[in-house]
Amino acid sequence: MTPTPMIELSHVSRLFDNAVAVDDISLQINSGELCVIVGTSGCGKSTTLRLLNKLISCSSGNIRIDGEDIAGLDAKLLRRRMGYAIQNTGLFPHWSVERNIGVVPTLLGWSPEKIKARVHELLELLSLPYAEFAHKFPSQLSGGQAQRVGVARALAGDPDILLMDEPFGALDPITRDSLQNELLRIQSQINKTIVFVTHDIDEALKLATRIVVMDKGRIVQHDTPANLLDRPVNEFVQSLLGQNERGLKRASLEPVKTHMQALSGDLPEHSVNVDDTLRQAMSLMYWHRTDILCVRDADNHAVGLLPMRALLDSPTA
Amino acid sequence: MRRLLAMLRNGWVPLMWLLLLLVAVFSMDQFEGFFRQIEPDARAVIYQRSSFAQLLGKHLLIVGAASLVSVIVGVAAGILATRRWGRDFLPLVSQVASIGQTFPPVAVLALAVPLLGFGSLPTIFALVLYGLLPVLRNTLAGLQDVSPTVIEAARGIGMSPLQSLFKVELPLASVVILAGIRTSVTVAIATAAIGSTIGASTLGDPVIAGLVNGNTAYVLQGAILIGLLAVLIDSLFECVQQWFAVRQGRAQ
Ligand SMILES: Nc1ncnc2c1ncn2[C@@H]1O[C@H](COP(=O)(O)OP(=O)(O)O)[C@@H](O)[C@H]1O
Ligand SMILES: [Mg+2]
Repeated sequence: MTPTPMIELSHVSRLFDNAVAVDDISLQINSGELCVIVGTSGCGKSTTLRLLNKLISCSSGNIRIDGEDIAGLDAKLLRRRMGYAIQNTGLFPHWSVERNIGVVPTLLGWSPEKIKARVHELLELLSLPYAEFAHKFPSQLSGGQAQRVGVARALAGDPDILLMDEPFGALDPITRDSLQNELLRIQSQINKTIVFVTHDIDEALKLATRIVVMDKGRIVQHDTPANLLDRPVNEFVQSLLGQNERGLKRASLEPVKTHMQALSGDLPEHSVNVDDTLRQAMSLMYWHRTDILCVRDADNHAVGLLPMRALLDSPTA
Repeated sequence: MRRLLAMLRNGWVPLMWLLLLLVAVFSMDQFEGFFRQIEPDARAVIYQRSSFAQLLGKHLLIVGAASLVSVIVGVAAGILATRRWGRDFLPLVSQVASIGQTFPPVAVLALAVPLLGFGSLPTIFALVLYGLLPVLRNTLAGLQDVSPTVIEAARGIGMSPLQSLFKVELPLASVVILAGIRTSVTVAIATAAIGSTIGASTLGDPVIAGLVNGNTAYVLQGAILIGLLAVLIDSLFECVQQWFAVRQGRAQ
């Protein structure tokens, strides 16, 4: 038995004044996936996302959420069941952090105690201590903190689905990187179905369980990050992946542990963490001018060896 | 606690003006000596035809009625013209409001008399026409200033259009809208005095009587009262605006 997909688009199109923004898209996203829609600006990513929560309507085709055709659902109620986080946060500037996060639970009619507990829980989840942040206003937050609050607000009603439209697009690279890691950590705890839009292929490769590549309103390829790198269907996908950088991008999807060899003889001088990626291992080898690294676990115990030759082997399970 | 103190501090200003106004209304007689110096030859130097308290009350009633209508109509029109389905009316609404403002108030009064007769009604009509623009203009500006991202977020998290309007858009526009109401009311307080020329009873009565009889003391008494009232109301608005800003985290 195949699981029913959480989100299912069939032959969905959307026109704006006779210009096609989304062109006959069919797509299935399973429960628990982190699906990233990637493509150049104006290719219809945001439009696709906004079709899912009925911020705009389909010109043709239909969308099913959890088996239900959304055409027959009340838009407000549908949206309260889906988290929505956008670039520049869209936080309400006249409300405190606490009230911003509590807005969907309030709309859902939760009791004040339950809302307060939920806000508490989410602020902790996003590494924003309640005592320090709950009563601040959005203008008193840094860009990264504001975006965390935006994500907390999207999660507040405990929705099954989270829609995110370039949520980290306006952040500096370091903050963006840490929020990406945070999103992966949170997703491993809460296991929502996430649809994430970005124009940044590296962000897509890092976050996605599967990637949807869009071009001119159509889906060009829908695949796992590894398959996308190994078998891009056409030149557009190739160029999106970057020609020369492809090897490094592929290496950053591969953990050291799938390539390491058993310990033997003396331990090499330089070490790599077992959970690091091959890309980081290659960088260390180049930096230390060595062709072999010692692999260590989180407790700093040596657990294996990584000679440069092993990088070329196909991974072991 | 700091907020409370700040508010008390701000509250002193209107309180002071209120005291001055009350002194002027109820103890104008005490200053007879001063007014006598201005008009040594006049038969009476303190305006007597009607008590200042009565004039103040009627003045406030006219201004209050006109401002109420201005605010309701102005804010409502501003909201309608910024809704998605009302956008087509936006240019029309702004133009009509601007035209209302270009008529001098005296001309509006003169035109209103044949329609509405003498008295308070044409005065209120003129004040409404005059006070509408600041309210409408600021409502439009305030609502259009709300960031589209914030409105998109309100919709995206599942607020109904009315919830978005009352919980997000109007509160965010409130400081600007309030500034428009402040202008409107302050102008109305000054302009209402002209209503005395067409038979409305206002604080303009002593001024007109003074001008007609050549009694500068009367003119001065009317002017002082109108001035004090205007400053009092203006400082009250200052307080309310401050309070709104504090509540929304824009000041500390
Ligand atoms: N509300 C709208 N009205 C008219 N055209 C729109 C609207 N929203 C998007 N479009 C057009 O649809 C196309 C896709 O837009 P969008 O989905 O926002 O692209 P992306 O998010 O991939 O950058 C663009 O050409 C854009 O101009
Ligand atoms: Mg977009």
